[in-house]
Formats: sequence, C-alpha cells, structure tokens
Amino acid sequence: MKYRFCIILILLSVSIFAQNIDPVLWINNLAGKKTATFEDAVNMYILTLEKKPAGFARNVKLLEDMKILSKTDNFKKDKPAYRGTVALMIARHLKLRDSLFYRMIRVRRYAFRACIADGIMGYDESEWDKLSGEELIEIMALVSDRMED
Amino acid sequence: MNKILLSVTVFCIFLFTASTTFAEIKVVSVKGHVAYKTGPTWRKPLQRGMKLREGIKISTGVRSSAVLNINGNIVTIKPLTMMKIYSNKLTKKNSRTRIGLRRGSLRTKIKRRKNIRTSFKVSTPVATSSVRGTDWSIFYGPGRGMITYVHDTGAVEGENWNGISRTIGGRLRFHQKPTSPLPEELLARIMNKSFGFGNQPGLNPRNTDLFNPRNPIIGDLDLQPVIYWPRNHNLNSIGLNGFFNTISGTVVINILWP
Repeated sequence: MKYRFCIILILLSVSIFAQNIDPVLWINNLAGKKTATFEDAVNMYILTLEKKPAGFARNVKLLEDMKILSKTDNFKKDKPAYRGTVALMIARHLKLRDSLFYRMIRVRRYAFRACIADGIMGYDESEWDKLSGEELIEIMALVSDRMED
Repeated sequence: MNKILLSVTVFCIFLFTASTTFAEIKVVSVKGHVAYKTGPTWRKPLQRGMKLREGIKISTGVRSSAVLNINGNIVTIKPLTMMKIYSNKLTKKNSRTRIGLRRGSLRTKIKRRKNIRTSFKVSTPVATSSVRGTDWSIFYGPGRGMITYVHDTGAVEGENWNGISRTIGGRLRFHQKPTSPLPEELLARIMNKSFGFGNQPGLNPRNTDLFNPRNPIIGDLDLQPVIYWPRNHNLNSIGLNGFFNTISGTVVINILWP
C-alpha cells in the first residue's frame, strides 16, 4: 500500500513540475494557418502579455481593460486579422509616438504608419493585408522584443 | 587469454576514439515553454541537461528561450523560434554543424579553436548564413526575410538561393527579403535612416533641423550618424544629391504620404 502510494505521489509530482507545452503547440498550429483570425490575434496578444487565454470574450475584456482594445472597436472574432487591426493594438499598447498623424487621429491607417516608423512593419506592406499565422507570429516576436527594451 | 583480452580492449578503444563520437548537443538551460520532437508530433518539453541527437526539432514559446551547447559552441534559441539540427559532426580536425531555421532567431557564439576547422551553417527558406568563428545572430520571418549580423570582430557569409553571397562584419548586416532576387545593399540601412547634419563631427541629433531623426517621418536613429554637413552651408541648396565633405552621394528617402 505504501509502495503504491509512493509511486502515485512520484507520478503526480512529475506532472506538476513538468513544463506545459500547450502554448507552443497552439503557436505551431497557428503557424500553419494561411489566414489568421482576429481571435488568433487576440490569443497571441494575451500570450505575449504572459497571461493565460480564457475564451474570446474574456480575452477581449482583458485587452479592453489594458486599453489595447476599445469598446467601440467591434472587431469580429472570425474575421481575418488585418495588418492595420494588429497595428492599432500594437500602437495603443506600446504607445508609439513616431507618427504625427497617429497622434492626431488614432485609426488603423495611421497606427500602421506608426508601426512602420518604429520598425515593426515594413513600408512596402499595407494595412489591408490579411496576416497569415507566420506573419502574425513574426510581428508579435518584434512586439515582445520591444516590451523587453 | 588476458593478453588477448587486453589487446582487444585497447583495439576497441582506438577504434571508437578515432570516429566522430565527441559530437555532442547538450541543453544548457531552458526558460519558459520549450518543446522538442524527433518524430511526427510535438509531445515533450525540453529540459536542462538533456543530450540531443541530430534530426531534432525545437520550438520555443512567447518569452521563452533555450541555450544549447553544440560541440562547445553556444546556441541561444530566442522566443517564438522553430529550428532543426540537421547534422552535427566533430572529429579531431573538423567541426561541422548544419541547422535549419524555420522562423524566429538564434544567437550563436562559435568557439575558435586552433587545431579544429569549424563550419557552422544556418539555413532559412530564403538564404543561408555560415561562419567559422564569431558571435553572431540570425533572424528569419516571412515578412522581413533573413537578417544576419555579427556582434564582435568576426565575419559572416550570407548567400541567397540565387548563389549571390556577401561577407559582412562590423556593423553591417546581410538582409535577404523573400520577394527580392538580390540581398539588400550593405549600406542601404545606414543611408536611409542615419541622416543628419550639424556643425561638428560626433553629431548631436538635437542640433539637426530639416532632417531631425526624431520627426514623425524619419523616426529611427538606432545607428550613430555617419554623415554630417559642413558648417555654414546654405540649407536651401539641399537636394537629393548631397555633398558630404569631399565626396558626393545619393540619398534615398521613403516618404509615406498620409
């Protein structure tokens, strides 16, 4: 009995201290998508902030509390993640200042310009590009670097 | 009988030490969520102290990283990276490592050894980067392409799939975009972004006027200015062909219309 109890205890402790690779698996699945959705962008942002994704509605609420999303945005969950939409989230989060027009008019178009000025996006891209999974991951990697600066 | 056994043992030792048995891939440290696979599915987390084999794929999560020791060379796998170790061979005279970078970035410190010729090559979907002995970084993403640069006094060779290669060092970088048949010009980044003028070398950006690196259009000054304007020059005569002390050059400015 004691022997069995010890084995169960050891197995449980191994599972408790084992690294959780679910975020890595989710990111690898996202990389295989030709078009990422707005929900994917929200999930990716939550992971970048080192928080646990907890359903689309809760994730959006969390980002609204952090002023990365606004209640007036009304972006649809299953719609493609446009570069401009992600740029707007990034510009609000990182408080980008390198675009005069973004400082005056805080819309996706000028948020995209602000991201170009900050080196997060390229000048030969468009705010209407639909992001693939890999492109979304690439952008969030740059955002993650900026957060550490 | 003892003599025969001793001879066989000594022969076996010579046989195995003459081959590539010292090639080693060891996990030095892991931070955050890092997974690896040797088969078709991702199942297992990478752990410190593990010894890995050729053919292994490693993937890191957000704000996660791993450090590997490959034949004495230190490879840091940065966040949101996926890479594969294709081959790793080490003999008494040669060290040869081949890595594939699917996305993300790596920083590698290659040990310089007198008696061993080291070849360390990283391949991406658009170009490859190879080095003999230096501290360097490589990045790949589907939008930006491949970027590689050194951190110390060594040199890195970048070569795209059209066979066009560049050897870079110092503060230059090799940049191959996915949509371009040629690598970016080595000085393109410096000429496009580090532009300012003042009345003395060692330029202070706050003294600039027309091309203020902090204005909304040109907002990036991550390199020290390399061009300065002579004192008392007439500002109205600025054109796209500028005169920089005794040489002339062409400046490319990308204007983003709102």
